[in-house]
Amino acid sequence: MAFAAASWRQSVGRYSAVSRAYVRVGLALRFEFLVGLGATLLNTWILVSIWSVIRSGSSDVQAAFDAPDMATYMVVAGVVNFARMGHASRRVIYRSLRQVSTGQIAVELVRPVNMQLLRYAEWLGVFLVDALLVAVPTWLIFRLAGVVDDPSSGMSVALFALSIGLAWLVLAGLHFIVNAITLMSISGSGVTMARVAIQEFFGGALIPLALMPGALRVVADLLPFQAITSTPTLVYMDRLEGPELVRAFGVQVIWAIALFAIGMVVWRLLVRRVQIQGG
Amino acid sequence: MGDAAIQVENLTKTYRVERRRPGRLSWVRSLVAPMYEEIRGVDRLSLAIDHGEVLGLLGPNGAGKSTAVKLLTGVLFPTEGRVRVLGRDPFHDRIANAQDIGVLFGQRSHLLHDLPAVDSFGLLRHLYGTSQSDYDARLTELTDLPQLEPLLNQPVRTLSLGQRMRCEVAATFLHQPRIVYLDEPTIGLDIEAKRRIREFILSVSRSLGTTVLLTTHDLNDVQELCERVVVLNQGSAVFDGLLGDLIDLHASSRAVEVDAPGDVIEMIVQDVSRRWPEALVTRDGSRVRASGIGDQGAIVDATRLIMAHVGVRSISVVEPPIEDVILSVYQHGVRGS
Repeated sequence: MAFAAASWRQSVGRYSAVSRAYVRVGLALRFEFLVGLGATLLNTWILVSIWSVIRSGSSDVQAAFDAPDMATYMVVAGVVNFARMGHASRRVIYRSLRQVSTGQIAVELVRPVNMQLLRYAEWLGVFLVDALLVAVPTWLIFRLAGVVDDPSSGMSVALFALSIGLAWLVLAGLHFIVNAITLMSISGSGVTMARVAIQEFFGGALIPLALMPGALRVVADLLPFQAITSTPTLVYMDRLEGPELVRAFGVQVIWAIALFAIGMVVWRLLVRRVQIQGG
Repeated sequence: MGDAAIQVENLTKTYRVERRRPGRLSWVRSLVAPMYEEIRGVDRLSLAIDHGEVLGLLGPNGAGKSTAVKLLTGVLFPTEGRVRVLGRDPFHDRIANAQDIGVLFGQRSHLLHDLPAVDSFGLLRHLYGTSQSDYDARLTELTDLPQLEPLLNQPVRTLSLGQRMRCEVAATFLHQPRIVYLDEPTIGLDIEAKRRIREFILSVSRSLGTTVLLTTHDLNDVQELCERVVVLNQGSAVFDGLLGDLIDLHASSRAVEVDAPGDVIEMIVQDVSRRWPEALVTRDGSRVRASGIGDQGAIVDATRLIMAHVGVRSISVVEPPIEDVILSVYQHGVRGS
């Protein structure tokens, strides 16, 4: 028991050190933050504007969202849109994909670490930096401009933070599966481009899921992407309550665990096929 | 043999490599139906490395040196054969094995590109579970490496290749590994940096009893660090033994050089050419050089024959350059084996 506790403490220390190091990696990229912040602001503003126009001409949209809610949805969805968010995250995630094509993966494999936990720890570090330096300022700017509503209570903030944490676990699970597939396909850029497009669409970052036609809505509900963008956004807006809220968190937890398990199995199957490129 | 630090038996690794089809529009056909060829990176390699031994793994480009290192470090899964490192299978026990080894890939980096090296060292301390006191002591020792200390607080991306390599070597030894794999550790370094890195590797491996497997193209690395060498060609070991023995096996490449007055030199040239018609005898004034005489016995016979001439001022046996010996092994295998 004591040994297990010590081993657990050592593992936590090991992977939290990785996250801390990647916070520093993220902070080392000062210029990229300004660019990332600008891109996120622009992207979010475009979506807010487009949906303002669409809403003014559509009674269906007007029935689903009043004007402030529509703007709040698009801003919050833009802020939590992990598909695009964060240049630090993107840089580190793409770097981990490139490690297979460049052969750098060999250096990672000779370290006494679980590759899946290592990747999660790296991504957590840069995610925290992106959240602090891109997501929060974006929200704050739209908040000061009077575009986005505040959460209704402290409880809403706490539930939103919880749903963001779970959303991140679901996203990290997807990233790791793409990472594992790269062991076979060598280049992960095609799979990543496909993931970003599918994730933005079925996650509700471009179109709120409530406004999707029936068949698409069914597909979106069956996929993990809604747990990444739509759920935290709706939690922020207090649109999920009681059993619906519990169900939404349950879906996030199930996807986080399922994708972790799938990633573990895919990695184990494909790591035997590793060929180190470039000698 | 049973308790060797590293034991390898009939190790084979095959790869599938895509090949472009011949002919016009071949790239379209390759896109639809790619053609693959199977390559043997390592072919039935067997070797054992004792604890504390420094072994040189030599071979031309594509000989399988780096693939062998990646099989021994658990990065690659072998197609056939068996590897045991400190009694473990390095692929299936990857994490436990990684705890006891240090690996330096000369063309890859252990360090976080955007941060100073000291941050990467700190991260490695946590990854290997090294205590703060051990880490501090080790870092103090390692900063004895030539000009390492000023580099530690500079972002790695701003370091030159030579500076980065010094940091990489330090990172490799930081957790006091029992076995160290050095894959081209001096690649790209200037002569002075190479010399100092070699000195450092030698002193650390001796003081800690570290087992070292070194792959290199730089034969000075081999001469200064290794007693034993394994020469690989096309994935197979074509020589496994002491460096001195390898040179001895190529004794026919030794030359005898003599200095004597002109008339004596003339007689020596005639005698040597008559006795060993295949020898290459070249004369330059009062000096003569005879190579290709034969094995060790023939060299002894030749020196006796030459010394029998009155007036010989000096005679010496010149060892073949190691580059020539290794090249000869690549091209012809081991003569006399």
